[in-house]
Amino acid sequence: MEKLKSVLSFDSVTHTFGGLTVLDGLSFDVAEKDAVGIFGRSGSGKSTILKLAAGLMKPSSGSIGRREGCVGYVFQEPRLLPWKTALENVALPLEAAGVSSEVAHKRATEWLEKMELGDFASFYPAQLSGGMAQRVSLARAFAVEPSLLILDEPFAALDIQIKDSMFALLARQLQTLKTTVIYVSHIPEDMVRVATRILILGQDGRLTEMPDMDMENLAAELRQQ
Amino acid sequence: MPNTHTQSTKAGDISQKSALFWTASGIVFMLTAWQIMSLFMPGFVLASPVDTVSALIAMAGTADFWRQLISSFRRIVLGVAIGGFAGFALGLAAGLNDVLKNILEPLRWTLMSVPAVVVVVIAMLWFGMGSAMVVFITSLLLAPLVYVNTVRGLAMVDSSLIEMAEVYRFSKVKTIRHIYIPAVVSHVISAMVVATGMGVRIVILAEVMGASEGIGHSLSLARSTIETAELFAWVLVCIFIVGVIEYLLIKPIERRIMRWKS
Repeated sequence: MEKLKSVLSFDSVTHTFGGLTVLDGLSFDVAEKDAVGIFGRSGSGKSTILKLAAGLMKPSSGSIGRREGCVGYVFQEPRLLPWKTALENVALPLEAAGVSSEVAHKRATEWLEKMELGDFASFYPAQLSGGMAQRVSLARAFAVEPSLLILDEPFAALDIQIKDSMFALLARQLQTLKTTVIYVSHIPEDMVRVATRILILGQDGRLTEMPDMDMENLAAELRQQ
Repeated sequence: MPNTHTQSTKAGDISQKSALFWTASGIVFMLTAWQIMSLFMPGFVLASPVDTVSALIAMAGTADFWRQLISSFRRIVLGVAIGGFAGFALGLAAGLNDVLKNILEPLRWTLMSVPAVVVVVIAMLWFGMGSAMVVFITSLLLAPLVYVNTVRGLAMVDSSLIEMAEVYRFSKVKTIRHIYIPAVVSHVISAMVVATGMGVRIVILAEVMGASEGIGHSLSLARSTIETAELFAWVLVCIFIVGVIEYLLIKPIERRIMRWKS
């Protein structure tokens, strides 16, 4: 199989729900080590793009190419298995990927420590705060060493102080690992904290790329969209 | 010290001590009402609590009592276990496969609609008298109860967790083992608690009608010789059996499996 030049490639992707066109002929590529942000209003179809990218949905027309390898997905809510400890929640996807239980637990422990949750490995999700549970979800996504990390407004439900520390934690890991990221948000300030390249999803279901510009002014520009 | 969430108390919840007090009050009320009623009725119609306990103590001193008790207990445990396992396995398969669910629906409906006594009569024709017949009936009548609860539990599994499993490429077996089964286990345990009580009743009914040993057989003998105190003593034994299975077997298993909820 020929290796894709891009980690992710959308080619004329259209998606409809019950006769309503949500995405209309989207074409874009995500290159290796890119951090692509997709900005759009609530309900504009941003999460649909991510689900299509992860292979959870099939497009109505067009094609999507994704490089082989694991996907790390951080949803809006942690989506942890309530009957598994934090450690087990991180280790399970590794085991599903064929990693031995011993190595999976070792790697899961390391990632929980990186997420400053070393002391909470044996805690069940019900015993963790919202921010801690979302950090377990981040650890789970990073632990599989994803070829593509998908972030679906992962910190939207957290309060402002926790959100700041979560973004700092995420930025630190992204800087170290140079993971390819696709991130969606409807909050301009959040968008510029993660993305190095921004695509705007309009209400017509089409994407337009933001021209290169000073990132400090980007939030103000995005707000006007 | 790690920060943990404290569990909020629902309105109307009472402390464990208080719950125990009210349960004990309920028992005292029942015993008092029983004692009062027995004062106004002849002994062969309603044995008093004192006569019943005396009969139970006398019976417990005989080897025959323990033989009958063990015989029924074995049938109950076997019937409940086989019925519970069959109901759970079929429920799991049907809950994950709509075609199978529709195929099993008429059988489920039939088994839940036919009176137990009819099943006993038919099973006696097929198996004759004895343990096989009793265990067969118990399993057959309990399986639909566990089956229905398993299917309902599966329908309530959080679809967002299934989506997460798809993203991380969980195999079907891993998804069943780590998501579906843990998600339905509380429904299955609730069904097993009900099934235990029902199992005791079904075993006794089957034994009354067609067994040469067991509590039901002894009850039948006590009735024919109008040993009412003995008859009531066997009722206490039945209650004791349900209590033993529920509180010494099912509840500890439930506490262990559901510890993530506490």
